[in-house]
Amino acid sequence: MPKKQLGFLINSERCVGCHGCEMACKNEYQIDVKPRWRRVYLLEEKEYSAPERNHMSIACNHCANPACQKVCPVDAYSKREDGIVMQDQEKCIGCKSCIKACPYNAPQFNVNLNKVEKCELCYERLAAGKKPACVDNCVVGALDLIELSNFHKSKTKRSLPGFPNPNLTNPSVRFISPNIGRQIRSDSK
Amino acid sequence: MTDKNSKGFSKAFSRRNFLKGAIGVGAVAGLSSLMPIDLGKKTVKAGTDYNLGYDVFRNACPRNCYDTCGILSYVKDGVLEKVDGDPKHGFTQGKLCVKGYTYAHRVYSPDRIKYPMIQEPRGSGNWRRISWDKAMDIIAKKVLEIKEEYGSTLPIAMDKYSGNFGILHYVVEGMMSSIGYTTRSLGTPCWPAGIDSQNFDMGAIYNSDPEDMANSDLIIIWGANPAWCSIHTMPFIQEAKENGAKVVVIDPIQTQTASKADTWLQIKTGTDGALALAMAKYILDNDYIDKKYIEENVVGFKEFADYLRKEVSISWAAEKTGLPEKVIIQLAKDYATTAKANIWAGYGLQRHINGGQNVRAIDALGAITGKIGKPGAGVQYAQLETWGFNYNAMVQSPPSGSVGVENPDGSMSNRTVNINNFGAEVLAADDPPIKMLWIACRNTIDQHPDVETSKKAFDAMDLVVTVDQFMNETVKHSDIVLPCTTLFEHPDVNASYWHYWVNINEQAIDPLYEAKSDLEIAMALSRKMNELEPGSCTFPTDISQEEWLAKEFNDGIYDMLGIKDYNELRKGPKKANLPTQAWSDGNFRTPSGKYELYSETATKYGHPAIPSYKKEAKASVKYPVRLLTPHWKYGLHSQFQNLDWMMNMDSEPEIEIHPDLAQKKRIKEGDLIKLSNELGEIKAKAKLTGTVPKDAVVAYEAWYKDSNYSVNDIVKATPSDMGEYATGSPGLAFHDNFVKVEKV
Amino acid sequence: MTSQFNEGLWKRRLHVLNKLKDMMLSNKDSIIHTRKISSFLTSLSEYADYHSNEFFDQCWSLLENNVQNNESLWKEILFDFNRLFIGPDKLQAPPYESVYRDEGLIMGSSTLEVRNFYQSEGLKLENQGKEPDDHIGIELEFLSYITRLIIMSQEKQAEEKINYYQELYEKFLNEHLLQWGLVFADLIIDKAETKFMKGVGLYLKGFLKEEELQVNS
Repeated sequence: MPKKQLGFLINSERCVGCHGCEMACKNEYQIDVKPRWRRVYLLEEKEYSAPERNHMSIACNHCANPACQKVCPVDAYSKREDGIVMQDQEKCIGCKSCIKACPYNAPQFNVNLNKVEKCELCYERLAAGKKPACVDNCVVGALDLIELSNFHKSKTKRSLPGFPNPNLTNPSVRFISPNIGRQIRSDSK
Repeated sequence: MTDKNSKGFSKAFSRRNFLKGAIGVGAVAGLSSLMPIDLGKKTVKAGTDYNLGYDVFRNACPRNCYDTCGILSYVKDGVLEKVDGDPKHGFTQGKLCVKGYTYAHRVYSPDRIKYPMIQEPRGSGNWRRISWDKAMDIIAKKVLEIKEEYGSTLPIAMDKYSGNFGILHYVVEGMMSSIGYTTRSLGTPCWPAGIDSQNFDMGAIYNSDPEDMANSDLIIIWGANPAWCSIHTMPFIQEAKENGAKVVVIDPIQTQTASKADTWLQIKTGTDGALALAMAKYILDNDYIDKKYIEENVVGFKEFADYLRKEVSISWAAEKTGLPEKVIIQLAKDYATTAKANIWAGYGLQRHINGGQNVRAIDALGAITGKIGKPGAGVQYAQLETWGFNYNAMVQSPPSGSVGVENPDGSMSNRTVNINNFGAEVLAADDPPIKMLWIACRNTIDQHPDVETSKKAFDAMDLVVTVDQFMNETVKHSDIVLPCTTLFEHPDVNASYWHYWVNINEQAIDPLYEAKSDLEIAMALSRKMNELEPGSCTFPTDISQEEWLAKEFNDGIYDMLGIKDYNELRKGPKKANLPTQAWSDGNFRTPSGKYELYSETATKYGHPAIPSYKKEAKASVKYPVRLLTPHWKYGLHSQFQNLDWMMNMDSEPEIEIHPDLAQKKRIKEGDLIKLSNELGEIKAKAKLTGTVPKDAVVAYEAWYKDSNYSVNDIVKATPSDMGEYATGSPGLAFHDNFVKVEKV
Repeated sequence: MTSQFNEGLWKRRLHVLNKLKDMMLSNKDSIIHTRKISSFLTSLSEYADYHSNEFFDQCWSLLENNVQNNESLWKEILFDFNRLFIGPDKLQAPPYESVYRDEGLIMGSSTLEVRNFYQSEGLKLENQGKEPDDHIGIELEFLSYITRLIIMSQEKQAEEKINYYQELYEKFLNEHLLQWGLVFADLIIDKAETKFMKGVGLYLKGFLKEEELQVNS
């Protein structure tokens, strides 16, 4: 019986890189200025057949083998039954080992608290029957909450160009690649 | 709120009752800001109790944006803690955007302008606080002094535009009217050429319900970038795509929207008219015209067909647009043979010297194929059908005996200056000259082309008053700044120029510091003027803001929204019960009552009667690179980008340049580059990207915190071809601007 | 918390708190009325005389800058004051606690805690909801109010109340003013363009440092 593992489906075909998800997350928790619990990254043009503006939106990947949990000297990280990687901020000593270890920039440093903080998959919203703030507020529906033990969507990938090797920590995210449309350039000469 | 923010902070001290009484009284005498709470009444709750429920209010985003989102504001203890989209809004469907989610940071930014202040001398940065009474006194005295000296208030000019599109904000015009005849900036910077086109063609701007785009089989997004500028329309386009629709984007830039299209046609900038006319020619030649529709609904088809036959060919268009003939033909064929083919004519499309003609040619495609007024089809630009309020605040009469510009029939009018040539016309105004400016809902100096000339105009004034929320170049060059409220701090009602929903805007929190709404400012000025000189201002002063709001509604609006009382909007926004397709009844509002391919009206404004190709602007030898200055995704003109959350994500401007062009200039990624022309120069870091044309650079018009970066330092106030008919002034050819590019 | 009541200290505190809060809450054309300058300086120096620290040492030459008869200098000081604390440009030294503690915004959770603190003593800001409760001037006013209560309690020999209010003073100082006051003072010192305001920043820093020592010894 595979363990329950919540995660995100990132549809980079639908995603328009608006950063609305980033801001919806900040608005939900009224997060301090610098920490970005969710971050939208531009995908490199050269990785695709023609230059386009495509993005991937990454928060915490709630990895099956979280690097943060492995390196934390005070055991601040734990993994829930549903796969969410939680951080007990009270325990955090601000050593930043997790920041160094995480391949995805998920742990973010809060200079006012001198501690790390990160996405916890809106566990309180989930408990109230809601979707995470980013998922709920994406205007184009580019983010979805998925349960990996139950997720069989074909045409999804484990990573996109620029996303660190998923074999490192087995992140609980799946991607839909952006399609590159047909381009007729008037300046091709 | 989660515990995270409150970690380590104390809980409040628990209450002790025995401290009331004599001892307290003496100490209370020393207080100036704090005051004793009447402990007899149970109006305040002691101790902390952060688990109190929120008060939730309905607001509407009043920015210059297609989407005009429905907002829910969560207020606790009188503080706006966060915002959310209103799920009852059928178009914006419970979601905001990257800008909307920052609203709490805008309201509570420590940098917000808090008090009326005066700067002496202007531009020195030496500001001191004055009371509202003092501010109104200075302003009123200047108004009366001007009236005394010049015999009229014509030397007072207002520049106002889209800072806040809430209906009650038209009070600024009303306030100006109530003091006499004044000088007004006339026209609109953004969309007037296309407005004229649609007025010549159909008699009004009137798009179909954008939600209907979900039913289209072909969507051509022409010179618009909804992925950045109307993100809430994207789901409807997506729905269409998921049902098999094809999306074609026509744009010189591989915009964010183009990146989501099936096909992107990188048309040579400004040649859109040629493409549309060539498509029309193909449709004509291959008998794809809708003869019945034309017969019943269109005048001037013969003249238009003659023009196409004589002047237009696919090969000519291919040469002009840089698009291959077979691509033009395929597009025309797909358009013609798809019943539910929709064209979205964007505003970027018409920001050219031939912008109006571009839109006329595109409109014509809808007319000759009979797609106008059909499901999932038509040519969509904008609409004002849902804006039929009373505008009480706007419509005021000058005091009797006021002198203005005299009309032939002896009546008086305001004087106007072209909003798109504001600085120059303010300087040139004579008999009487302009001596005072009132700026509201506008950031003239940063957002108007040719910053230098705007500054010169401001320098020539005796008094400049600006109403605003944050410091910007316009405030910097003003004498008096008046702090205004955000949308959460005053009541209003909002419509959209795109979707069909109307939204109430409830007052969610008290105005901060001494901020006042434009409406309160009008009433304050009126009180002061009448105190100094009874009868000098007719603006009513004894009506509350809520009453003003109530007065905006009329039977027409009630019928349209299916409500009996505007308070019903507190339960949710309402959709106008207009037909889904605009012009489905064929009742065009032109002089002939039909679609006018041949427009007499157009000739009165110096244009050809039929949609014709007007030559596109070209670069010169000295300034060989076109500068495109579209909207930025993190800001709305000079709003939002300065907020801390936004700056954290995007801290400085970049200029997008194609790698080929960069290589020619030996520019590498991140290099500081300079764009210059006759007006001046701007500098920013280069971002190399293949998504821009090889012969252009893209610099977004946005305002950065602590920076006086403004693309308008080098954007010329070049007029577009149309705009005068329906809006009073020609528009601006923002994108027909050319520069030299150099590495710094 | 001292078992022996140091009346002089409390009186000196009261004078300093009153002078500083009046200045910080000023909304007139002069931040200190010319007639009150010497009493301003006297109150400040009386407190400083009993405590030596480097900040007090540094501030005197800056504060005692022959400002009495120099109108244009006072104008400069006013503009400096406005640049630091008022606007309309972005504030050089935002005078609100939550800006330093709650995501850089006013009306944050610490503002509401401060509000509750006032409330528990039966006070509220007249402009509650329109002005942040945690403005430096108001926090100083609150402390001045408590100080006055302490002095009056002493005059009435109300032992219990003296202790209660002393604890309250300590608590508010530690949990609120000291949580941001020193950073705020540093900003004033760094960003002030006039010597006088720089002197004010240094004095405030010195005062807070002393108070921190006093209540926590």
